[in-house]
Amino acid sequence: MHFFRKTNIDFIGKRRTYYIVSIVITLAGILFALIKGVEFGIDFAGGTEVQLQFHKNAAIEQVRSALDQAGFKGAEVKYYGKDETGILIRVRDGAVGAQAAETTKSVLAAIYKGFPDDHPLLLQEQHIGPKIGAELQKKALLAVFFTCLVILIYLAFRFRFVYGLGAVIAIVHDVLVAFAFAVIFNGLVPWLNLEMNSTMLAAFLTIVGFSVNDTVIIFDRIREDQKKYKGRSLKEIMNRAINETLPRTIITSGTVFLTLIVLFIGGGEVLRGFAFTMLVGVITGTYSSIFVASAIAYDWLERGKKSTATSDSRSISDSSNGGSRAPKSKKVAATA
Amino acid sequence: MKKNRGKIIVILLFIAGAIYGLYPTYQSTTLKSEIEKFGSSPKDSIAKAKFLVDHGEELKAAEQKAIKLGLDLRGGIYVTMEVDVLKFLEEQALQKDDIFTQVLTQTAKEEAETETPVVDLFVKNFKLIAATKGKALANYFYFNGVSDDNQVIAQLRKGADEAVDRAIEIIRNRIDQFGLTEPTISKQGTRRIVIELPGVADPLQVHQLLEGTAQLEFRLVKNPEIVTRIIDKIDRQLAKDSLGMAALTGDSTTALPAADTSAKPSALSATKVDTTKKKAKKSIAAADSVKKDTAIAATGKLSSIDSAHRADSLAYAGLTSTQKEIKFKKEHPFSYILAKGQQKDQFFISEADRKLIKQILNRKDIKPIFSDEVSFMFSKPIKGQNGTNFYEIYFLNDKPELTGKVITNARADIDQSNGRPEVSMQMDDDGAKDWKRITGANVHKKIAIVLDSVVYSAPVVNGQIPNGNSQITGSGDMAEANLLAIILKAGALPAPVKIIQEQVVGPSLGADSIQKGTWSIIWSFLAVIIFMAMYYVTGGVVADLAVLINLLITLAVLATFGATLTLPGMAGLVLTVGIAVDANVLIYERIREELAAGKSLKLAIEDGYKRAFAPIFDGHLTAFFSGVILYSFGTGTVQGFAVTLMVGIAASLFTAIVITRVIFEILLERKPSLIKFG
Repeated sequence: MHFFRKTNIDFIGKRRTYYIVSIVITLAGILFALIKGVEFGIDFAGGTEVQLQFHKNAAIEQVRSALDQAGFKGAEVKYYGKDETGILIRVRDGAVGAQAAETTKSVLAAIYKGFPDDHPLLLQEQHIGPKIGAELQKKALLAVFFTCLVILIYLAFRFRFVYGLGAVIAIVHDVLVAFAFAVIFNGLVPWLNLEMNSTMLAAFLTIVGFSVNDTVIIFDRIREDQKKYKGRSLKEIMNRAINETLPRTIITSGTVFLTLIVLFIGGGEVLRGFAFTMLVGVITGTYSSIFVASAIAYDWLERGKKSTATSDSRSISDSSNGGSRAPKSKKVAATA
Repeated sequence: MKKNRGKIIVILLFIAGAIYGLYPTYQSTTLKSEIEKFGSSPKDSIAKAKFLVDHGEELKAAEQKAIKLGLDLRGGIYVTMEVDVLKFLEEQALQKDDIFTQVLTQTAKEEAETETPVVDLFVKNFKLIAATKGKALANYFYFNGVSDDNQVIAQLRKGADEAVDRAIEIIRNRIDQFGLTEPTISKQGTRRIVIELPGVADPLQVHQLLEGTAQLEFRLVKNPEIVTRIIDKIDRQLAKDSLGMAALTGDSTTALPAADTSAKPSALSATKVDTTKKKAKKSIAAADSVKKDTAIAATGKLSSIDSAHRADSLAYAGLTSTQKEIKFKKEHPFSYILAKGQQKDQFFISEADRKLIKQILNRKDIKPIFSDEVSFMFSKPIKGQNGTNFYEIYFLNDKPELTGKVITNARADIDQSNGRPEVSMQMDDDGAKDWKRITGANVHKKIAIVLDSVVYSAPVVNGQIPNGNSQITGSGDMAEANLLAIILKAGALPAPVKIIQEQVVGPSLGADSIQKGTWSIIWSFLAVIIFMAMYYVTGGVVADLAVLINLLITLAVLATFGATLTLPGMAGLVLTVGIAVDANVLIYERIREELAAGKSLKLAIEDGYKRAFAPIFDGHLTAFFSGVILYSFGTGTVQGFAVTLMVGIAASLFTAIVITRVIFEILLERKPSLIKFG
């Protein structure tokens, strides 16, 4: 079975269009996050969280009024899961330890009082001190930063610095896009459980791993083709490498996508947000390794040539005249 | 075939190793499902009890080596505690004037906002606020022979670190008494303690356990004569009611392990000279043999009763050893459970019997026999040779002689005269006065050091101790001595720790997660293998085999190294399935290219593997990096995810490259027509 016959798409030539697409999506996400605010999960925000399973559908207003009467004004109440039987209650009273256990107890008492016929099951409770929450937020940012740094160093060492840079920009792009989607969809589809928590952090770092994997495979091919087809233009070689690896890129992303769909459907409430973010990440990771990482490396290398018009760069452009293609000649003219 | 022989052997070894590593998991799962099959009818519960007796140890051993499930899957309580350094500083201070309180308040304010260690913050604020008013740290803190500010700071830091160790020991001690299954208590960083209690769902109970103030006491150990008399009385009372006893002892046949359990009677001496160091080398072999050989057991048991029973012993003449044992068990049901130590008032019991003993001693007809004068307490668990724990049981005065509040300092040292570890202990004036009287009245008797109802040590008093400065010798090694020193300070210095994070997972949520996670793995696996087989034909089937082996190896590694499987970890396994085929996709696409370029099948496979290696390696390595970073920054369940991902990635290098290639090479030799890449 073959999904693809040999392709010959000019990816690099259309890079500017994709730059705009990427920038628009990321900026929209960041704007949305700034306006709407990011919803943090209990482990990042701190506080007490009680997760209840009702036997019958429970109205949020009723839960809230039961809590209000017990003095928990401003408690956050939301559905957890697809139907209206799972309820998540959050109280940010800063209590920890024995005090927080009292909070849970009073929350439960209030609910039992408000719903005398439905004795809901306590699925999970969590108390996070404010200090831990702040610490986790900081650690999450550091984790993404260090991953980028390590990858930059490794790729700079394995390939060239610009390739590392291209890969890292692609990573940042992917994380931002996945983040944007998470923030936007969190408001639109509440049952996706898309608030920022440690599981989401795991999703982001896995996206980083995936994205860089895709990117590296294309870079490897570029390097190989550079040796094989000496004298061809960088653009030609890059396009060729991307086209050659395209079947692999699609198939692998496809199998991972398949497993994630399974996880999204059957993995339960805890993993749904993770699976959703990863699904976005796999798509944007595939996209970015083609349209962002290689394209940025390309632009950087070509710009370098323009500014330092040395004999070295000339020799490359000279020889590339042999393969004379329309966009190529334009650039040669620019260099000259 | 020949050139691959080495590789084939390695591959088979890996598979065998993986199966070996996973067998305990399989075993414990099947045993547990067998147990669950038993209903609640009386007939079933007898059958269940019998099953437990027959397979209990098997199950226990299997569980130890099986894949450990995280709290999010099992249900339970996860608690993070932190040393309350501010409180510690407050407790350490000799005087708390306005200036000091001002420094503390300022530090408390800043503590919430920065991650600077609290001692450093305190010192900084002290310099800003107190030093300008002519105060030095030594005005507030006293450490023997220390007056310089820097030395005081060093002592404060050391004290804060020690508080963590003390809190860990106190918590471990209590959790152990509680008889919770598989608790884990670990230190995180320097100031934090992480406690995981699977299967516990009541946080209030746990708070009492974790945050209550520790009780350190000195209690007199009862004379051997009194102990013998009490045991005898209990035996007689229980023998009257032999039916009830039989039911109790039925499942308590687990005997003490063969032991060089060298009981260590420590000597407490006023002088530094170590006089009574009776390091008991004698084992409690008598009890050990109960299980292996009943013949020896009976005699062993007989010899274990005191001479007071000599008259009884005559009645055993002419009986076979089995009969002897049955008769002894019937007449002395209580002594039967106890294993005699090397000294005549030393008794040990096995882990399994501890509950039974507590049950017996709390019975309405038994309690009055001793309760007006004696308290029963157990030692810390002692590790036996086969890994099971056992305990020494102590018969102590009901009233403590002295509480640990009087102890001002305790330190572990090496005794210069003989190089052995010892613990020196100082008391305040009031304590020293009492101590003088107590030790004077009880020379050559044992005094037990008891923390939260657990006996840590029961040294013999060598002579009257006049000034409160005592040396406790007989610790097995320096670590043990250090532990005792830490414990001794627990009475005066309640370790100020506070809960900063807590998660309680109900059992139903965990069960639900296990089910969903397992099905996700199965379905994603099926989806991927079907796709691969369709797309790459035989190549796909070979890759599927590699993915299966990858899953096996990953799970086996998790089981063997005691890693914990969490729900995100299960997601990691699902992802591993997706990633593991990536290497094969790369290779196969490459082979297809080479074939399209007109190369022979053999050459195409060879070149395909060769050329695909570099990108596979780079890709795996970078993905592995992000796993490492996730592990070091993540907490709890997320770390479980990182671990499965890392193991899966590493295993994929082997399964996707080495295993598939060997299979293709064998096929090339035997049946090249089978090989198709679609």
